[in-house]
Amino acid sequence: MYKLIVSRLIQGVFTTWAVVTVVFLLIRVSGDPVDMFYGGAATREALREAEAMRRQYGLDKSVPEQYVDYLTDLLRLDFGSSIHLKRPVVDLIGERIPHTLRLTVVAFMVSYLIAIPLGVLAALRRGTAFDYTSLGLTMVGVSLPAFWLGLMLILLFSVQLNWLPASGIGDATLQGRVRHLILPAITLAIPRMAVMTRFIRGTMLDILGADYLTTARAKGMRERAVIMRHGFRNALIPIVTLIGLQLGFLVGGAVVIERVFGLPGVGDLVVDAISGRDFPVVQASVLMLAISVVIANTAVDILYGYVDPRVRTE
Amino acid sequence: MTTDTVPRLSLAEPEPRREPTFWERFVREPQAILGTLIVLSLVLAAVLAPVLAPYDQFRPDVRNRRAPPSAEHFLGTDELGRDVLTRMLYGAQISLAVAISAVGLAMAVGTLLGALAGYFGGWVDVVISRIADTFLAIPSLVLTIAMVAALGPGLDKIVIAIAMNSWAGYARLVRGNFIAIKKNEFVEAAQAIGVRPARVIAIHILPNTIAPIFVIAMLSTAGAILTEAGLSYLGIGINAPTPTWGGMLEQGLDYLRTAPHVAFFPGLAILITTLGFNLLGEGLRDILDPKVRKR
Repeated sequence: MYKLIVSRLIQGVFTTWAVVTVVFLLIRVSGDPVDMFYGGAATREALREAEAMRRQYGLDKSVPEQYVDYLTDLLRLDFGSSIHLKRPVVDLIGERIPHTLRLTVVAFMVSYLIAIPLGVLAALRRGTAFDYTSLGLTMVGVSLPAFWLGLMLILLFSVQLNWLPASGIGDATLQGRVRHLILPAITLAIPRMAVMTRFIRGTMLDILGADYLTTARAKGMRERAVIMRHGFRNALIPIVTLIGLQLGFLVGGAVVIERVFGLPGVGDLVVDAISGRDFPVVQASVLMLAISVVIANTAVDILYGYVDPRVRTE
Repeated sequence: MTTDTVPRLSLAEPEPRREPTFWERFVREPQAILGTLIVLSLVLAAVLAPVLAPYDQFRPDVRNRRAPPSAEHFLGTDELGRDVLTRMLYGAQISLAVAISAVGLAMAVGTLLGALAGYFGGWVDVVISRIADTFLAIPSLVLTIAMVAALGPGLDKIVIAIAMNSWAGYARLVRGNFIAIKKNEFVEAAQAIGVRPARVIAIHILPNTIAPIFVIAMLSTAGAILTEAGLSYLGIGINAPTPTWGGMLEQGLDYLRTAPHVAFFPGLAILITTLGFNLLGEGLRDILDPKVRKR
């Protein structure tokens, strides 16, 4: 187990470094960010400003030098300052993380809490009306554009029924926060829930046909115990593996959902920064989102070792 | 089927059952049929957009802004008085063109790299697999957004950005299949008589792995359409006045209360399109995957 943890941690560090490098290369390959920022302005004043900015961000150095600078700054957790907001990027992201975190964690829990029982039930009642209804609905869920789903929920619950607020984060009270989180979390959760329900159904079906379940029944075990102790516990293995991937989708989806519901999260920050060509912010937020997913994946890999004893001995 | 020249001695021996052909399975797979119908109608609608579209896609009609659906404008008009149906038909061209090019590019790059990794193994495999793992580790929408931020807006750039975040899936799949298939005797036989590696890869192994690649391609076409729509919705995809479903939806946002049809119909079009490709992909998987068939 100890060996597994160490090897996964090393892998995690390697992937993080690779992600950092990919993001660095992406931003450099695309040309001079300062040129993009000033967009062909040719007045003497603009040129002088652009030159100063280039020096300020170290863009006058060679690419390998920039890369080394960039890595050292990262290790010092120095992400530079926003061009527009003139504030350290770390502060900007720090302010916004709680909103993104709250949204993704709630959506994650909602999607799994519904998907697990639904997927298991659909597999147990395979071929019934219940199974077909769930298959049909989840197929639509998988195909739904999340931002459109969000708009439709706003139309129904905010505009027509006036039950829930359409956007913003509300006042600092618990009730206000919860009311403002319901629609975004549901919007983010539904497509993930649909994917997971289908996946869990498929996994359970594979397991329900396995010989060890027949053995368990043959030795006189009660059906409920057969399903829960031998069936579901084995289904958990692939379900846990997918958690990491699902988190990645949730984080990506949150970027769009935050825009729909006017939540001031990291996704909202990224989109504004892209439109405003605020590259230190883009770079740092993309990095932050990507690294958080890598960390989650590493954690899941280690968790996996606890769920599945076979992984430990590999 | 071979003809018996020797008369059968045992009546108990059953006639070997013939495996149903692809088409025989296809017609019994409602998902695949429905998916095909949806995808075909969309392709037709996109290709025939100039013929089918009742109005000009760009010309505004200021006296007729945000009109609800009516006999003249089946799906109403947008904030500039442009016909929503017309712009949706042209939007279908963009959505399909972006999705198909992105998936084609990702499939080509991913299949090539996966084939090289699986066939040659060793350091080639290590390098390609590590790069693929890195791309798989970054959340795809975040990666796409980073790419678009780096490359800037525009149709070709969106295609590259979407392809960049999906090639790794193909590479991993093709690599696995190549490793499994290259152990077969027919591959060893080809190598033994001195067939060049490029030919072994292209003629002997690749055809055996086309089916799962195609299934992934259908499912990721749905994903690509959602991504393009999402980017255009965020205003960092394909810029106005080019009609895109995501962009139209975004413009409808401001009038959600007074003219919900402006945002509703483009979203519905996205849903139906992704549903079509997903149904086709899942249907094909059920047809092609013998494990699922047995269930």
